[in-house]
Amino acid sequence: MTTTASEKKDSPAASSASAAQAAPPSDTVTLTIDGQKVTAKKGTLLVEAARAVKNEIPVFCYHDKLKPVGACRMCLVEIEKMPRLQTACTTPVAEGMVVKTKSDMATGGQNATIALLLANHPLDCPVCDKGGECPLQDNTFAHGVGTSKFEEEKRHKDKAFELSENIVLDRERCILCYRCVRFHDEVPGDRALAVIDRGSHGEIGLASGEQYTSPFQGNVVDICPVGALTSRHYRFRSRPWDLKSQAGIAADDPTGSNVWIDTRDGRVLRLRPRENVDVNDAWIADATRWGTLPAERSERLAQPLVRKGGKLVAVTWFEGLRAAAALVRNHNTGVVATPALTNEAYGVLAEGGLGDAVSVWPRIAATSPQGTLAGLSSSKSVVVVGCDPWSEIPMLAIAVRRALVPFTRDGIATGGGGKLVVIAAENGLARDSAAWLKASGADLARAVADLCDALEGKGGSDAAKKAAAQLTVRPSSLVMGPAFAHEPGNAALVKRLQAALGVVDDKGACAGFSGAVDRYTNARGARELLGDKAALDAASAAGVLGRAGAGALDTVIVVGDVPHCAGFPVDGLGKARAVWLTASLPKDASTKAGAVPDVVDVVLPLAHVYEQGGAFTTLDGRHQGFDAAGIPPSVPGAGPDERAKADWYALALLAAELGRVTPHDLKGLRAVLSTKHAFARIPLNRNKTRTELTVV
Amino acid sequence: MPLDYQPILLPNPGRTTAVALTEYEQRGGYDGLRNALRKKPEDVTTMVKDAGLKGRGGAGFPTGMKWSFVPKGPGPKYLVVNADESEPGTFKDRDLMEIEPHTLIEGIAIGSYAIGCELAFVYIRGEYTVAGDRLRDAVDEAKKAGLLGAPSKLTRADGTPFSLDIVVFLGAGAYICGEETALIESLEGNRAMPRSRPPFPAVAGLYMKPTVVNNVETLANVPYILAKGVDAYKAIGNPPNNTGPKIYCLSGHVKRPGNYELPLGKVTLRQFIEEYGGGTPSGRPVKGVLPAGVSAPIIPAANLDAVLDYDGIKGAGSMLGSASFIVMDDSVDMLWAATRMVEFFRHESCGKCTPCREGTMWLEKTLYRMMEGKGKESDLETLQFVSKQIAGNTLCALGDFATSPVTSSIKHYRDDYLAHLVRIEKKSDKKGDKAAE
Repeated sequence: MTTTASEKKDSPAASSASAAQAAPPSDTVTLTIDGQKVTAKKGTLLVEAARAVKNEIPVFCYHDKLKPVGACRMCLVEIEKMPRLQTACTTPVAEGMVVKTKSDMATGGQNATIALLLANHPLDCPVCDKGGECPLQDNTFAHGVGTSKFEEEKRHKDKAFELSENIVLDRERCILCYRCVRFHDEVPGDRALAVIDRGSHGEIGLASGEQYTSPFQGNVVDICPVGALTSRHYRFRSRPWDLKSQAGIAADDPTGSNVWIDTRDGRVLRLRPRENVDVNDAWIADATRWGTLPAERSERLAQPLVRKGGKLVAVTWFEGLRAAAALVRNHNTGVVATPALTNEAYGVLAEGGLGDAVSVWPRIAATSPQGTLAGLSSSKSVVVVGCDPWSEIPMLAIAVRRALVPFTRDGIATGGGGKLVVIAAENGLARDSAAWLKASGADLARAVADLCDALEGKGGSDAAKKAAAQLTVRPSSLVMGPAFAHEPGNAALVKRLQAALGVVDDKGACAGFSGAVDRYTNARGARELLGDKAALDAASAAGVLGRAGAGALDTVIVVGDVPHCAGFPVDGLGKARAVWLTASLPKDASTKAGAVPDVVDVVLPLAHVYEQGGAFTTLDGRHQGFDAAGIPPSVPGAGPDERAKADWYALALLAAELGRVTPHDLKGLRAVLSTKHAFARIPLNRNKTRTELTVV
Repeated sequence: MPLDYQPILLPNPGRTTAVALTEYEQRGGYDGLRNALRKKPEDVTTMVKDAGLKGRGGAGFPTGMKWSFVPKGPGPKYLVVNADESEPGTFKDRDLMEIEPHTLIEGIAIGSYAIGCELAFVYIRGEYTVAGDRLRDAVDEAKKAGLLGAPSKLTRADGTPFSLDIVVFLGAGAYICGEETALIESLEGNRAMPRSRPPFPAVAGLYMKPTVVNNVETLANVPYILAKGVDAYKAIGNPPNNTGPKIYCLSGHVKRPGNYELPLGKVTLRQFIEEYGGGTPSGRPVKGVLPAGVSAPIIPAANLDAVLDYDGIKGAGSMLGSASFIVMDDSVDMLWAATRMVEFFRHESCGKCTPCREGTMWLEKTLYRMMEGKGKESDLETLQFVSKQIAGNTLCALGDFATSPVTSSIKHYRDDYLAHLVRIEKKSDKKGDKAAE
């Protein structure tokens, strides 16, 4: 956990001086922690006030994103005029409070907690995944006595209890801090985990008859302060000190979850959430965590493939590019780009030269949403139509839920109080919804019209009236599934609903959020960089697939792989031949039946997103850059040129082969793009992380 | 000579049937409530404060003071009756509810009026089904008679109708539910685990609304204060700190166990055991007395002249608590007794906080090993060490309680621990001899 403090002060002396000079405003209090004067906002918890001045009080059960419970007793501190030790994680600061975190009495309490926790904790650190990044180890070294008086036999419980196909629980290691239970209760609200039995027999588990199906399971591994909860995808694969952590952006998440990409020898072994309070807070969805892990580097295609005599043959990049260029040069060529490429790749495509037409496939929404996800999370009235964020874009569901239920920041409950009305077939947020009007297909429009009637006071069904009665407070937000928003017949209805909800004010500003949400990582980037043609249906008459199908194109360049959408647009290509830039093929793709469609004459292997630099734009317009973390697949023994390449790099090389000069390095490319595009002016690694704490 | 005292809370010793509303009213029942409704709520609180009534559940916190902590503003407030009488050797609230349910109901009504509560809850331990049934019947009786209800037929001092409903709720049987915040959690339908304070229940209790949690016997004291006045109440007992009647539960090695209602501070522990309890059935001398179930230090025989009230028992190095006296004669092995008590606490620890969960288990394991004859002298040090790690560091008082049987028995009966080890050693010698034969 990062320690942060206001950057304004550098030393304790400076802080005490500033506190003495200015009379504290009414919403702050001044207290003393270990002799150091600290001025903090009223309501701040002691543990946070201490953290702000880089005085870390040890904790296990406390987590700044969860409600404090005071269960583990690790943070016991001495407060003058109080007879007993108090838990710093539940005690708010008070004017004139004198806190001692390192007095004999306080350390006595902290020693006691460590001694008691270790009494039954197994000594299997050498084979424990958490070893080396374990708060129990760290706190034991810092606050324990080093020896144990415990002579009895340790308690025996399940060592490898499979909570789900992703999570394994070691009940002997568990110190019952309840972070995992509280996470599910408070953040997604699905109450997936429970404490079973009582006292020293207590253990984490599932309520009887329940299964662990939450889309947010992996987060409990991150917040577990011991090695009790481990991920089956990472279990026994590495030691933390052998890992290199690199800041990255989720490869599949249109909300732009910030991640740490942990690599070992260039292989991506693990993803963890990277704290960003404006985006994903401290969480990521399981689909990102495990679904976007690249396959083993040596198992993936590293060399270009060229069809010779009907058979695909592995060639050098030099040959591959030449073959691809031959298919493009002097041929009618179109480009099909998936909505999951980097902005830099779209930039190269937008520069032109690779074909006279570019279509995005699968189809994305015509316009970008208005407002922001932060606006969505602070809305008081939210309507979701024709989609289920919970199952489609899990992190969007978290953003919606924040509008409804208070969440915890720096230990203090904040936000919430909004109402949610869902018009859809599925609703993963059902338990938090004020109303759920079940509808799908053509009924969606009828249900929306019904709600509009009720909102406008022109009648409507009883259910719609009840729902409308929940949607009176502003700001409001509207989240729509692309299929509903795409339907041309719904355009007027969407406008009517937006007006009835008041999502946009008189000046056209949207304080909340309004629009169709694409599931694809960088649909917004594609739209912003490729312009109008991005939203065109690729299969329509004017689209690349439509034209290819009609026989108007000789060659189609297909760029990228589509998360959430298996397949390759084989059927749409008609008689055209294809060049395919992909990161999804196995190393034996040339011989494996069905791996490469027959229409493909050239395959250029791409690096996985986590193995390349670039930038994505979130669905609410946030540009986030990232550097390469892993090393892409390469040909054994060959030089660095013979490896799978970044999407933008492969496209730039192809453009160069066709006589267009495009910079071949990320810096140069971004310099070129930056004259037209804002995203390219944002440094790759300048993504904000933790909030500045409210300590003066 | 037993004291000349007319019981107030349980006026019919030996009775087993419930006192019906008519009978209760004949002897002046609900006069206290009627008197209360003629006063301002805050004046009722002041009377209870002046009477010096202290909580009878164990902590002995002044009741009027507790009521006065409830914010005066609008919004719901709750009175919750702690009837989760789970302390071993404690059975006073059971008699009060089974035999004198209307005394409790009247006390609830007065307390509710004082704090502005219109919905009160009685949380009864799951095993007390008879008490639950009788209390429910009595609530129905009172409702029919217009004494309770939303609104009732009674009028408040400000002319508005008095409104109160009482929900009788049976728990599922857990010791921890006697802890007020765990009780509130359980009442809300959550796992019974104590909450971290602040906020205190008076500010944010049941459903995060201002809440007063009072023991059954505490509230049973209130009607008398309102009916007869502060001075009459203070005349009972040993003012200023120990006013009013108290029901003492007597069990263990005595000839006549049971509930005895006596004024606070009028008899000594020795008198109580000998004159009321009839002494030990075996005639053997008393070795020690647990004054508050198993939750307070053992009082050794040397301190039997302690007076039965808050100050007297405190002076003897223990706590009056719920005033449940468990008498042990000198046949009791205090190591065995401590083991049994720690076993209870280990079993009942909710497990929320580390010291209690891990500490009680550690104590139990060490004591079990000693009982098996595998103890060594250094174990006494370990037991004291572990007790010290628990006490004062836990979320609720249960952890502190769990250490007192161990620390007090080691303090007063160290020989029992040592003799135990020796005795076991001799036994194993004998076994060895037999095997040799």
